[in-house]
Amino acid sequence: MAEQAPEQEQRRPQPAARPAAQRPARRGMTEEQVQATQIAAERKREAMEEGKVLTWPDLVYAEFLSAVFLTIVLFVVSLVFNAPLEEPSNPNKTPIPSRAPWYFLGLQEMLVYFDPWIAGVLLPGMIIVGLMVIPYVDTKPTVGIGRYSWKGREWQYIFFIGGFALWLLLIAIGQFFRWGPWAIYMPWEPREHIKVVAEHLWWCPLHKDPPANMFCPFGFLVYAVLNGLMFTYPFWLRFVHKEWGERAMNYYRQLGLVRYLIVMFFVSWTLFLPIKMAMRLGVFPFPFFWGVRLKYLVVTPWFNI
Amino acid sequence: MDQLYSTRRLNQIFVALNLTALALILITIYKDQRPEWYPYQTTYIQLFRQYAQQELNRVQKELQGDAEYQELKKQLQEVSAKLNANPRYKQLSQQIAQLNDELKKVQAQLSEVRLDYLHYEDEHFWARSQSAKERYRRLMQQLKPTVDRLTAQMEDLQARLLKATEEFNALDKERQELQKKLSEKEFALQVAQASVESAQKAKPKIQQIHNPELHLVDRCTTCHMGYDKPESWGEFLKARIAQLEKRKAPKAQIDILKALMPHPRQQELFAKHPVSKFGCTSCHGGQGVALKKDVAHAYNEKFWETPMLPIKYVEAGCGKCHRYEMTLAGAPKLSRGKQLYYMLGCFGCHDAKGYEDVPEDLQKIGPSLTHIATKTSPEWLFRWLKNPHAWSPNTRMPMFYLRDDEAWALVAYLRHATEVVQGEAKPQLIDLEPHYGKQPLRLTKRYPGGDPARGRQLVQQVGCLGCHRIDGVGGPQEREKGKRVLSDKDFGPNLSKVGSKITNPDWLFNWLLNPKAIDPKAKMPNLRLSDQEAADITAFLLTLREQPTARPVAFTPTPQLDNPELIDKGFRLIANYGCAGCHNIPGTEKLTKIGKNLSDEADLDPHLIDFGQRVHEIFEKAPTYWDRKYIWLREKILRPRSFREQGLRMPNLNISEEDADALLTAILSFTKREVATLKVTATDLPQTLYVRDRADDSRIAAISAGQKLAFGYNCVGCHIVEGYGGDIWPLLEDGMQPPNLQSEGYRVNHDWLFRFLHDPTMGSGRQHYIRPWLKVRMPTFGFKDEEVNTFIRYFAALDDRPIFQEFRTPYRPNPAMVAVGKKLFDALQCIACHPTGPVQPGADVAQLAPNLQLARERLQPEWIVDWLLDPQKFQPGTRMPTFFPYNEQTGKHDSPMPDILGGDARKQAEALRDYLLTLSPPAMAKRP
Amino acid sequence: MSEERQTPEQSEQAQRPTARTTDGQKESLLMRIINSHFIRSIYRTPWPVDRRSRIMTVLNSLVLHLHPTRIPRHAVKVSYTWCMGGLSFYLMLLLTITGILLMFYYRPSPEHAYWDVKYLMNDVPFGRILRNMHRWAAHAMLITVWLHMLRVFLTGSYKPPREFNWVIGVNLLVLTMLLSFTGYLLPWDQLAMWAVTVGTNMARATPFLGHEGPFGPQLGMTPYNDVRFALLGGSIVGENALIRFYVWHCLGFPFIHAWLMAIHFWRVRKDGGISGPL
Repeated sequence: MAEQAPEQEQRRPQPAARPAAQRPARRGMTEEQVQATQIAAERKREAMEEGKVLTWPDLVYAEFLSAVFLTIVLFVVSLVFNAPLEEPSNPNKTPIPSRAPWYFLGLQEMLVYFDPWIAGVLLPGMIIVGLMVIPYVDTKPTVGIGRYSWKGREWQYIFFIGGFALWLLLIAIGQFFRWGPWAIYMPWEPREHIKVVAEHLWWCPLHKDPPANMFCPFGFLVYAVLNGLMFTYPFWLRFVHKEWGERAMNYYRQLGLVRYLIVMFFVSWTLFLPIKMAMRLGVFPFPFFWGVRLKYLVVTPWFNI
Repeated sequence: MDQLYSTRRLNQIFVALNLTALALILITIYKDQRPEWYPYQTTYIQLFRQYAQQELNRVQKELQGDAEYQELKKQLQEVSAKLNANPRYKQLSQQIAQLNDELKKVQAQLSEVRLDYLHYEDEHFWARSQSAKERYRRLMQQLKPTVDRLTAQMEDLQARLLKATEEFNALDKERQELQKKLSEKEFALQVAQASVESAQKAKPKIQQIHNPELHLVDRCTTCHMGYDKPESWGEFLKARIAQLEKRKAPKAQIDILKALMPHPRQQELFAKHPVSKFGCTSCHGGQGVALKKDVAHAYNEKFWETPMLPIKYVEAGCGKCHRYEMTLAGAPKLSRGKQLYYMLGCFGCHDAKGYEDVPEDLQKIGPSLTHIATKTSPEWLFRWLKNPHAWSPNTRMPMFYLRDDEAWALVAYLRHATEVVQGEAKPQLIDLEPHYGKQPLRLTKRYPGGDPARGRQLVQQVGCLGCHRIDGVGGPQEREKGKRVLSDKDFGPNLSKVGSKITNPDWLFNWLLNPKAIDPKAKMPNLRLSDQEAADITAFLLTLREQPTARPVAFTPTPQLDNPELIDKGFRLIANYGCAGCHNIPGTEKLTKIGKNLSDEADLDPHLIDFGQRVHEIFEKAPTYWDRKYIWLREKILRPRSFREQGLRMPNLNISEEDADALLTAILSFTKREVATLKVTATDLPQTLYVRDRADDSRIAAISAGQKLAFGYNCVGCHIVEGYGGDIWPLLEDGMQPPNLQSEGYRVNHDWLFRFLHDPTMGSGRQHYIRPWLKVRMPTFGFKDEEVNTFIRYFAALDDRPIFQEFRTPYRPNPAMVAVGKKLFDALQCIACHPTGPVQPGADVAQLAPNLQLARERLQPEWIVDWLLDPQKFQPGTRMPTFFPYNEQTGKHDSPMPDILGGDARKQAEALRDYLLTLSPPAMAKRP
Repeated sequence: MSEERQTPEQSEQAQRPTARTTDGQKESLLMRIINSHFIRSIYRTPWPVDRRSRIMTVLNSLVLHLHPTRIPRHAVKVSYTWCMGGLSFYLMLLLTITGILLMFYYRPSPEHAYWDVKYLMNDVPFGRILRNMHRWAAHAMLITVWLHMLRVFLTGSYKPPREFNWVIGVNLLVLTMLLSFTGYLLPWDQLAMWAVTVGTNMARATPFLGHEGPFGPQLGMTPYNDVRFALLGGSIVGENALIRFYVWHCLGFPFIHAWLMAIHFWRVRKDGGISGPL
């Protein structure tokens, strides 16, 4: 919660202006927390009005039944399908393809699009941290507490469900469309033959082969410019569309600089992932890259992205 | 009360769900309690009870019908009655029982007292103080008389008992003997009774063979309960199956009965491979621990790497351990396959375990092409390369499906690389140039012309037909297959049309005189032909021409053969098709084997196979997952190019389906996996039974290396070695055949064998040495020392003799025995068959045997005695008479002359041996 | 003596519902068993038929008191909760039980591991279903945990004051995946070995700490001292990796998991049940 420190610094001069009645009951709470707690209390009142039911039997019984139901399902599945057990492990015999367990297929799939240190270490770490950060960068802590509410949380829903779907998509590709040396196989393509994929990769947008000086200025430039544009959008959007621009500026003000940068960092990576996928698969819908399988966008002597 | 869900509704769901769960649990328990093997065992137990009862009845009936048995029984009764009537007998038996009781009592007392005594003695010895010593000494003194008394008593009792027992036994002797004979007769009955009892007690349970040394847990016998039962059980089951089939019983029921059949050839196989040690999966493959049929057999288990071998290729299981022997008694298919792998030159392209010790000179099974251009014409070469099987269907040369331009390219290269071209500039082939090693061929003699008729006779007599086939010469064209090593292939080229092939009679003449002079690695041996003989044979062979009536063979016109591009293409083709795997071709010395190493072909997973365009066909044809592999391998052998149009290199071997199956059996035995899939340290298994690496066992190493020579030089064309070979035997009259080499390692002295193999004339220059009447000639192979040593080691290993005898003083015949031996030698008329001098014309050659004058230097003294006593043991079917038949009653050999040496057969045989060893070698065998 | 003993029983009888209903009809056998001395010594509260006893049932039970006694009507609906949190917990219990039973038959060494699993599949009574249940329940748990997270996000249940519980939840998700992944190696077959090889190969590329990662070699990382080596106890997936994964799977991760779960539930209860804030 280190990012909250400057926030408090910023807002410290203001508390005097706040009515005493709205002062936080507990010390050390941010304004959002205070506000959310108040809303929560309101929701509680609403709930009281709505009426409560007893935990026994309405909740406990339902929980119990669902557990029994799940047990039955598992029982049937276990009777019908055997857990896989292949031949004894043999370090000298690499199976083709060697596939990670399905829940890690997202990571294995990402390995195609990024170098291992990004796909295997950085991105998973970012996913975990990104998930944890969510409650602390929520600009609408008071909207939709304890209920499904598309209204008011449109962007949150889109972004989260989109990310979830992307993860499932990666798993689906890894499970159903990959075979042999991790090449794309359509479900109707016969898998008896090992496909030898002729990979004609562009190293980076300017070079078909690894650049001699290991530096690709063009890609770096594009990356930097696009990121710069994205990070600064609250400041220029108003010249494009007045209302949107104001909204963006509001958003920026609500978050403050540090939290805004954190959010934009995760957002930019989340958006970059599908873009890089498309580039790598050669289906980037941009005339320049169409059919070009791009390996890296940014090439430096130390790391490549 | 305010409730979201109705409790009644929830209760209903609760009941429904719980009933479902209960049902599932019951199903699971039932499945666990009534496993797949259950009906097998219940069926087995039920049937086996019937069978055991039936056997018991049969045995009882047999005994009742056995007059001798009844007689014995009656006699026993009479004798017993007589004995019982004898008062002394009764008295004695009572006395013995009494004495035994007393003895036991006394012994018990004595042992107790003695223990005390020993204790005192011990204490006395270790006691520190005088008083203690004194005390124990006194105690010992007190006890001593008791010990002595009891000892005396015991000795007395023992003596009395002995006396009584002796007397009793004397009286009882007759009865006891009768009893023994009777119980021998009743043995089968007892066995039958025991099996009835055990059948009554049997209950269904999991059976298991566990050998931790092999990491082996085999539960196969849980279903295959009858695996160790006698053949009569099999007959019993067969009758049942026939009944069921008649009744149109469901297949599942019949299959259960089939699974209960006994293992075939139990005595032969189980004696050396006890099931309690080896289990089932060591040989058969399969998943031993599994108790479900499909999982255990694993024909369809993708992830069980050693599925059961199909019964067709079951002998591959033997080869998993017996990797190095090319012949294995009891596994004819595997042996045939391993021999074919060697003889067809598969190892020329595909290395495999077991074939690493092929000697340098035999690495290439085909003829050396060093001078091919001198021998024949480009047109013939072209025809041959296009389709060798059209020229001679029995050739070992495979067909490579060459296009015309490819064949011409090969011809161009061969001509370029082998022909002596005087004064012409060689074409510039930069990358190949350094490899050229042309040696000018000098034909030392000119063909003077000869008599074809005499040549024909010689070809039939001297042994050419041991390797070559000539249509219309030497007996039936289709020779007996018998135990031929190459069933429908010939070792040497078919000479039926050789006249049309050889364009240079001088070459043929010189070749016949001494093949090694033309090609030092030639496998054709020197038959020591005189110039006249060689000329006659040459004349005869040149008359063997292709029938002109045959449809003229159409082929593209001969192109310009010294075109460098064409020559270069030829070289590339040779490299591509691996011609150098079988032939010595100048310029190809640096090429390596082109094929895949098959050492672990048995471990190949079907999912790693490229089925090419036949993928769907094979998948449909294969009833199970692993069958895909077997079908693919078999098709690869029979129709190697059918998988893809291009890019495949394996040639068509043109072998029969039978041979393909044998070959496949051998290939399926090439595994790197240890028995029972895990690393094994078998310490208590005898080495010879359990050889996994040649280095483990010098005996197997010797056999393996020897077989490579014996097959590689086609010794088996003339001789019978390990029961294989003797191709020429059916073509010769009885008695004129080359000898059978069984027990050669025990029979002959190794130093004699060394000299003989180097020079079969033993320096005499005469054609025949041991069997002067033979027309067929033991050729001079010009073996190297190491090859001869390999042969000797091989023969010694086959007979389990020490490899290379120790140095020892020569056996000196006992002079006293020699005279006796001479007498026996004359009495037994040995000389009638074993000539000691030149054979009289008109003698019955079928009766002749080796010259015994050679015995001293040739034969091993121990062998002579053993041979005389039982020749059939060494060579079943030998013409040597058995003078001293074995008498089972006495456990000794009988002698036809009981008055000599007290009728002791062994002594007589030794006397004969001593006499033989005094015979002086004939003058012609004297060393120079 | 007997009179003395009767007194407390009578007083007990006075407290609990009488054996006869108000109508004077005799109580059913089931109710008599439920109201017997023994059963009542376990469950203090009477058969939950009325409002009070229902509340008491929840309050007096160690397991059930994780729930509040009363819950807003909308939040109880299965269509709202999807039951995913509860089922995740249930699967965790199921996995613990089956896992303990599997441990009886399993030895984590390369010589034995595979064959022990084979043995389980082929011979152990109910071994096959035991292993199948464990495997499929593990997969199911991943799904339920993911769906639980999705549901929590969609219903905004991570919002103040429950932010930190969301963080713990994310950690539980990661732990679930790690548990599943470590368990994947234990059968010691080709699938296990190579899946784990692929998985742990990524660790090679850890920045600074992996020998193939950016700045790794510069910091002196080799295959024998980097983070992958620490994970596997070696440079390949071998004996050491197996024992490490086994210990993490059976001891380390379950312990952490249980601890975090306790906190998770505690905070659910404190911060407002399954429904919304208190």
